[in-house]
Amino acid sequence: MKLTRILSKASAISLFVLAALATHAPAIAGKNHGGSGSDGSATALDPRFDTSFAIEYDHSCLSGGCHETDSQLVEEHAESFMTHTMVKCNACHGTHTADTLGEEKPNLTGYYPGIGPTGYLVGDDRCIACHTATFDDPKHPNKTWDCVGCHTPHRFATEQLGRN
Amino acid sequence: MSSKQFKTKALFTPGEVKSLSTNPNLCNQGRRTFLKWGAALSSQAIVGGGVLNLLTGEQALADDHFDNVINWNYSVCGFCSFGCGLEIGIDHDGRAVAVRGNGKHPTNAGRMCVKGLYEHKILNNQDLRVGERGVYPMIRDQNGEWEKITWDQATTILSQKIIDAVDSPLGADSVATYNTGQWTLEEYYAFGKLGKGAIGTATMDSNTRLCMAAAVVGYLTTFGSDGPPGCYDDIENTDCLFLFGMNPAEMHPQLWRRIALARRSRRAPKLIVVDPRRTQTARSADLHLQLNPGTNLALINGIVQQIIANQWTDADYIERHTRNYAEMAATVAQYTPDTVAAITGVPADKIITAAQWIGTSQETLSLFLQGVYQSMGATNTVRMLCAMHLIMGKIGRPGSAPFSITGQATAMSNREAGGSSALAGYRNCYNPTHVSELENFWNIENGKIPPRKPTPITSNSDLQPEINSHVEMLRNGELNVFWIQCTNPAVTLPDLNKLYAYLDFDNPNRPYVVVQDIYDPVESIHFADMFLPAAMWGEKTGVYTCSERKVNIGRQAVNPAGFELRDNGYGAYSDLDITRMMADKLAAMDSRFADRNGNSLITFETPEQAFEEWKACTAGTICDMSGMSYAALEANNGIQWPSTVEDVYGGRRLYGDGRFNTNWEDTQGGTPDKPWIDPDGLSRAYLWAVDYEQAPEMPDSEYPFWLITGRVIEHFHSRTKTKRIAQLHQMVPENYVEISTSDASAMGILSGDMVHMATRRGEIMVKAKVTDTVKPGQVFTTMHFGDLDPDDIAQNEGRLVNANRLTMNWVDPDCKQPIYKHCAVKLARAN
Ligand code: SF4
Repeated sequence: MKLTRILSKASAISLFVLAALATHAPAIAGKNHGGSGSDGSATALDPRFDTSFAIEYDHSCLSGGCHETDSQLVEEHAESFMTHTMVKCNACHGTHTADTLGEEKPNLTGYYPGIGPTGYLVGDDRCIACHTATFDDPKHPNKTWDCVGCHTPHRFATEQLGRN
Repeated sequence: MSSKQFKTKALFTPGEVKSLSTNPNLCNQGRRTFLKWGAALSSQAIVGGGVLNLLTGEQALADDHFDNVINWNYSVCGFCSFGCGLEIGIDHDGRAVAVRGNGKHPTNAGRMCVKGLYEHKILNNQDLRVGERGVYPMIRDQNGEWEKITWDQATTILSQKIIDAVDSPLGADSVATYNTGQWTLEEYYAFGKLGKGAIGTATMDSNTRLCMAAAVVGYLTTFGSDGPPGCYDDIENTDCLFLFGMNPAEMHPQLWRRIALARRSRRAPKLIVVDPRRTQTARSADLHLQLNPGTNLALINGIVQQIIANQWTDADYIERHTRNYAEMAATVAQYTPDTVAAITGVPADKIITAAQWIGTSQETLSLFLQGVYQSMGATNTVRMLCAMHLIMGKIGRPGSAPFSITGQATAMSNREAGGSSALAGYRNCYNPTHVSELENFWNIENGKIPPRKPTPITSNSDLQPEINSHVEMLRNGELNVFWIQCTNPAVTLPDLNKLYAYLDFDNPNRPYVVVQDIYDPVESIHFADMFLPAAMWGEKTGVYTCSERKVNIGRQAVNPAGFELRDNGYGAYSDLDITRMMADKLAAMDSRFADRNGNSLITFETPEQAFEEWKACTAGTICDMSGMSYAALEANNGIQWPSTVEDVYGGRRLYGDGRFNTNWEDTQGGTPDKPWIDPDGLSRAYLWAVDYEQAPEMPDSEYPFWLITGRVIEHFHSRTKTKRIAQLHQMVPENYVEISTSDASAMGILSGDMVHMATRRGEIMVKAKVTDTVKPGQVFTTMHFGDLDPDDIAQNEGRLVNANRLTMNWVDPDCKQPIYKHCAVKLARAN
């Protein structure tokens, strides 16, 4: 179960964090909203679903010189309806970046990227904490408890932001 | 399996570990340590279902998943007033180890914001990032050191202090109480009984004064009584959302989620946002009215002027259900778009468009909050928002209401139950019939309840000599006892440097200060003579009224902190229990504090018994809850008031019949000569005619910037709880100031630079965040951060960072709420 996933992902996560920590990139100004779809096609920009504030105020996660280098992550996060509703990184990951001001300042509180602040993977329970109704919903097609199998991580919604 | 089994050879030297633990920021470490950390990451050990922390050699606790949960406990969120339904996960040891949303709860459909998600981490010492739960009553010894005492000793000492105060020339009013918006309703009701019915003091207030007093007084003086008329379902039933001075994306995230979902629906309501900052909410608006601080009233008068000028009014509704329309219309007539544009800085065409959308939409829902209440013209702005809806007849039906959103989880409950400034059950302290009815219900002597409005918490006679307050009484040595409960005035009151001087132990006029709270340290404890440890959310059962008047129940999930110490006379108790202990002790020590039969006023033993008495107290009142029960609250995921036995679910919306509580026998406040009281007994609402006034402090050559204060999503109020949660603290660990790109450039300030800020009252030094969230000429800082607790002192390296060292203690003349939102400030890059 969860241990298996920890084992399978831990080394990749470690390599990722080293790459991320070693890179100092300038802060992004913040995106207005989703720029491209999962298939790379342009999405209709809808100013009603702004995510620029959430990204700018994700402090050092996406605008402070660390994960903004992961363009897919940033794009997906910017397209997410959850981002628009201010579900920021720490809601699921806790946070290992201790700075409010855009500097790169990861701390050593036991957090590992991709893993929660207590050293555990961000598992489905983090999703279920809010989406209990989905799992009780007989219309929900999948009961495998593998949320990211269907929902793109960091974009989450199968329906893209701004598309009605 | 014990974590001690996983000890490994440490990667870091002891010195490095010490350095890392005191300064856990990687970029502040040496290069060698940085590389070691990288090595640690790549070689992390995976053991026994967890990750081994190579720094400490201990296995990380698995507390972010539900594997250990054996029982889910029904509850409601204890942070903001939106009232999200949730469940607390309990493990085999009876510990709260998780929170999940209640998917069946209509308010939030299982969703929670980041504060609610980590709420279980405020309960147990082992989960707290800093500090610990208070479990011992304590008094200071002669050297000023804390000394443990038992509850019996503590209640005896405090009771004697109260008796002495009542017997002093200053009388019962020299006993000041100051509580909260975070107790349960039963606790407010009990404490109102103790304060007004037993002690007989009128020096009672709560931090809700700082939060939404303007809404209470605005409603009361328009509709005759408090109580938001709308409900959350109006969000999905409206065509135009008018958000005035509020930022739900950060302050009420689940309210924002419902707005966002409504915006995605086929109905797709328009969104107008009034805010001086470009918040997430404002950036998502169809129309952002980015007004100058302190000009709310001019703007709303200008919008009402346009609605009248374009006849988007309902003449029949005005005629039948309101009074004073002609005077109001004449007053707003001068607020033309050009005039208002000159005052507010909002272009005239945007004002016209806003009025058009509000006026021509089939349904319009106005939501408003601190940007209104904590600004210049607070009460009058609420009155005009109500007037705007009344003249359009857009009230009391799905999708239309002037809907005041509250701040704290149970602020509404305090308003209803009279735990501080109000009288229980929306009774009017100036109406002898209401007062004697309550005295008889409580079985106390007639004349015991003070027949006057209680004193507000703060004011400054240098600025407003006509207003008295707790703080003024402190300053003048007119208090003997100051009992602070579940609130943290040492962080949240304005103009703190003065308050600190009044509370200083060297001040011979200082009263006996009691702080009743859940943690130690908390900033206000610095000034306390006595500390009383309280239980909190999750540790007690009780009901919570959220913004839409929905009453929900939070069931006790775990034992209060220090439960095992109770046999020895220690341990935290619920505030209901503490109030009962005090009522019993006072009655036993002095019969003046007992009921007519010589008994304690608090006869209920359990929260449910308290709720049953409260229900009887509300029967026939505006906030009637007699149709509710604990079981029904849980079964229905909350019930809105009014709820009578005959019509349990009748409280969806108020004023659907156009009848308001403005008749003398109904109104919640004021003497018979007050303008809102309908002289003809026709229950009509009152339309105020009010003019814009300039704020008492404006930027000038010496202090050239507007200082705006506010909040961030991660923290709640003075961070008493949220700074203990690592996942919240680490995102925003210190205060900061937002400066516009152009101002920062002119002053040579970059993000991260230290900035010195000063007002006429004090100064602080915080880091800069350069952003175009604020306009040039304006800066923004948060209200969350104290600078007295050891952890904060370490975090800030001794710098003063509390925004309330800067804010102005000027209160709205009607509601006595301070104008935290704006004052004049100067700033410069610090060396
Ligand atoms: S939105 Fe408010 S009530 Fe809901 S989880 Fe967040 S803080 Fe709690």
